[in-house]
Amino acid sequence: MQPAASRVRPRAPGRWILALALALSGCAAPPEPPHAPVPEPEQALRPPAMRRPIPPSAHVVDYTLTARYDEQLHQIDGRARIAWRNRGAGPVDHVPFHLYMNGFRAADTAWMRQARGSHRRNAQDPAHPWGYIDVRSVQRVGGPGLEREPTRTALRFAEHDEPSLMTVWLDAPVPSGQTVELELAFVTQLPGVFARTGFADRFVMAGQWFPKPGVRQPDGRWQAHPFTLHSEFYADFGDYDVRLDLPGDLVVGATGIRRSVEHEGTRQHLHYQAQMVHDFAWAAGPDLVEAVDDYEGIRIRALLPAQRAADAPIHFAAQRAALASMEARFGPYPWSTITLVDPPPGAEGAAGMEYPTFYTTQHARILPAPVRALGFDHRLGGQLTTIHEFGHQYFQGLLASDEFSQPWLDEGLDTFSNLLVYLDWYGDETGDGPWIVRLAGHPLSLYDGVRLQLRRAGSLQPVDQPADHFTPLVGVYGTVTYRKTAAALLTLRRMAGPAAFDAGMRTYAERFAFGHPTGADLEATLGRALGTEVVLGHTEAGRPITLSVPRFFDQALRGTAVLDFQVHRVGHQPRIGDTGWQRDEHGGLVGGDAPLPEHPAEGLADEELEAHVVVHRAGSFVIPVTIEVEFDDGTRERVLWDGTGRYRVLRFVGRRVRWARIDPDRHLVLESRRYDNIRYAPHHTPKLTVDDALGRLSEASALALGGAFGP
Amino acid sequence: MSALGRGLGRVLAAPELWLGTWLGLVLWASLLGWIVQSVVAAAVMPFGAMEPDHVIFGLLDVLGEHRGAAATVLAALSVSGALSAVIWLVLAPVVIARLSDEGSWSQVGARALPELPAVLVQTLWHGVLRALLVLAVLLSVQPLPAAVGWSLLGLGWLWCTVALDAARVAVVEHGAAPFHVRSAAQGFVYTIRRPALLLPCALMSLGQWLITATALWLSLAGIVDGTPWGPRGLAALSVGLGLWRVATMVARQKDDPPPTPDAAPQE
Repeated sequence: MQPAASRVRPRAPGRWILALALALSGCAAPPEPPHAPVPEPEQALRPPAMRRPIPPSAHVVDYTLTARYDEQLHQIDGRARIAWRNRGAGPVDHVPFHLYMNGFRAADTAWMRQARGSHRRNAQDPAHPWGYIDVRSVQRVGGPGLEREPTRTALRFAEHDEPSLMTVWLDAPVPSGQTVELELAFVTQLPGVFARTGFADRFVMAGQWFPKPGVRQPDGRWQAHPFTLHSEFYADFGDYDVRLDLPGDLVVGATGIRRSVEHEGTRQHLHYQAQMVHDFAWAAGPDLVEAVDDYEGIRIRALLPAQRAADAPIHFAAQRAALASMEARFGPYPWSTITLVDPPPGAEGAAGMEYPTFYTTQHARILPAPVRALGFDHRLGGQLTTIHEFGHQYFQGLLASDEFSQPWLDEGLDTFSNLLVYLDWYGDETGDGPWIVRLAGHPLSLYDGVRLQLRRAGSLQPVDQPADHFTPLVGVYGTVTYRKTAAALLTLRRMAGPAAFDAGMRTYAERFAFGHPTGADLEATLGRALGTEVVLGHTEAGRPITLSVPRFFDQALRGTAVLDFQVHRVGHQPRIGDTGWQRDEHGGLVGGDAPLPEHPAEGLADEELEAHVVVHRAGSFVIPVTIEVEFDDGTRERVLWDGTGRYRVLRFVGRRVRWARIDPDRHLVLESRRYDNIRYAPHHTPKLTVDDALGRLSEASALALGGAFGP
Repeated sequence: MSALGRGLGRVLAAPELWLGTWLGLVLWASLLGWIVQSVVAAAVMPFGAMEPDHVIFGLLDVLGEHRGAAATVLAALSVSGALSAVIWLVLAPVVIARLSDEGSWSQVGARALPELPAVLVQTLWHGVLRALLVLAVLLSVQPLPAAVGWSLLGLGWLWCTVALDAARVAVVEHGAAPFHVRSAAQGFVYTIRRPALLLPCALMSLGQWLITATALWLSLAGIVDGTPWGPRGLAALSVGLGLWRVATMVARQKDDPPPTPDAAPQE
């Protein structure tokens, strides 16, 4: 049954306020969100012709979940029936479970010890600080070796000292290739929302609300990690059949497709199904407005706070752009729905989190039209969040890497893919990607934005390390995992060439879809696509100058070397003449002319001098780089340097240099400090300098303030 | 002729006031700009060339790398704002006296300077009343949409500016109680009862803020190839508009003086 679209009308006492607001602001009423007639799909997966085939081995675990939400206690009373297949070689006698919600149970959990009561500037709710999941019973359904046997056997289970982990001991081992069915009864207490899950007034964001088994690795070891501040989640693929019992007036969004909804008194009973996903989350709120869109058969559903209903087209545009770019680059999106939720004011702690076929975004924060007309604009806010959180449908929804062991594989690759979405959507507007912010008409390019965020962080901790190695006190997790990874991949793409790089990324996405790829898988795939050594040019002697892909990854991902170049010197000196005694063709000494008088280079003719440019590799990151030199006659010359030494001297006999610039095409996105990448020769003045610009800005500001304050 | 027209006439009759204050402002701003330029140049030498297509990045790159330069810019702006407010406060009685009377500068000075303590005290009282008004507006607009709230706050702010003019002119020209809060409060009453005065004066104040925003925008937009004379010219306009606003109040109170202690009913 197709649910009726809910639209919240302003309450009667508020109508005059709304009318006054409209009259004063001279605005039209906010536009109705689009309501395209897009029905709920019949299947959770797109038709086989619209997606890649799913390897049967990827299907490991199925969940049947029932949950009743008590709005007074903010508790979920749930049962989980979990059918887990032993796809490994040997028998299994125990199953570790993630109890992620227990990360919020007390001040001394692994999560809380790192977070100290706040997450992304959202503080713990002092009235409802704690969340937990209390597993009441675990039973094995069916006898050993038999499936769907009605017998039930109580199993021994215990939380670890770190309560986000639990082990269930089976009464008999599960042989390879067999399935074990477990049924768990649990109660989940939601905290006041501050770290992606919980409640705020009547709004609920239920993420990580049920017990989930760990992932058995190919080598037979279980991967189940304590929930820490940056660790996020890791699970196997399977099907979900979920029945929710919720207050009847809540508008609900969830993973997968909605099979049915039935209202009974003050409650509603919802039935959801999802296929080949590794998590299930849902959100509900009383004042959410539903808007629906469609992209090539994929139903896009947005739930927005009533006061931000006009944001729907912005989120839809971003969502469609993300789908278009990512499908073209990484293959088809395999599921038939995607649901996005903008948490209402007061529930900001729920914003910006991804779950399979479902994510939370945030307020679009579009600037008013008059401000944009003056050249002030941005492409950040909810638009970027929508693109980023949808990007996780690929990295890690489809390519389900271990977010605990290698968080860069989801956050970093996702951020990188976001940059490509912007590039595909807006084009290369600045030569350095599209603009991301405009101030009085001056663009800040997308890649410059990444460079600015890298500042000073790259040398503190490497990218490729487990999440719990990122110490919050150092505070570089976001910069390193998200931005440095993206900057590294972008640098490699720009240096090695987009075509080969993009082909490699596509191969990676196709090969490891519905799998658990590692960083080594990505590096090996890209290494095969690009070659181990990418030839960038040749020295004057004909020797190739190459970019070593493995060495690049070592430096960018596993090292803390900073990529930084500097023009150390640009100048001129008299050229070496032929005065003094020289031997002639008969071996006799001839000449004996006096040396040329000392003369400043500026007074010499061009043919009497030689120019020099000294380039310094100030950082320890070794990478080839291009140096561009402009001469007084306006001509330019480029030299490729392999970057192996600490410096390189360039000489130009008989020519006068105006300036020298490193990395003129801005390929090195990893280089955040660039103001010393260009230097003018003495007695040459740049047209525009930063000191002049800041001086004039300060003068204008003083004039403006003086005029505003007086008389 | 309306108070608006007579006010304009008074401003045009005092070109040295307009030109002098503007020149002082330009010199002060240029000095600040030069200080900032020198500090930044010393910090980034021998670099500092910017690429016209990457202006924002170029500025942020340097300011992020050289926090001292960033602090200098911030300090210059803070000092500029604070000193502007103080200088205009000190000049207020002189400006009022000059716009009120075409006598010599020595006469103007002799009449204005003794009123300086009273103007300072009235400005302080006004500041208290303005803070209360802003607080009241903030509390009352909370249920309203943000755009409405900001609009009401802006209207309140403009009213305050005109009320301050009224209080200062009343003290300097009409002998209003120099140190009593009543004079500051009377400024609000006087202006709200005379919408034909309040509206144009508030619009002139709004015009000054718009000119301020335009000057900032012009300097930022023209950072690559703009001229400093754009913001300088706009500053002249802003100063002129402010003088016109004060002169309008002076002209109006000549015809319609505010109640003074002497005029108050005797008990």
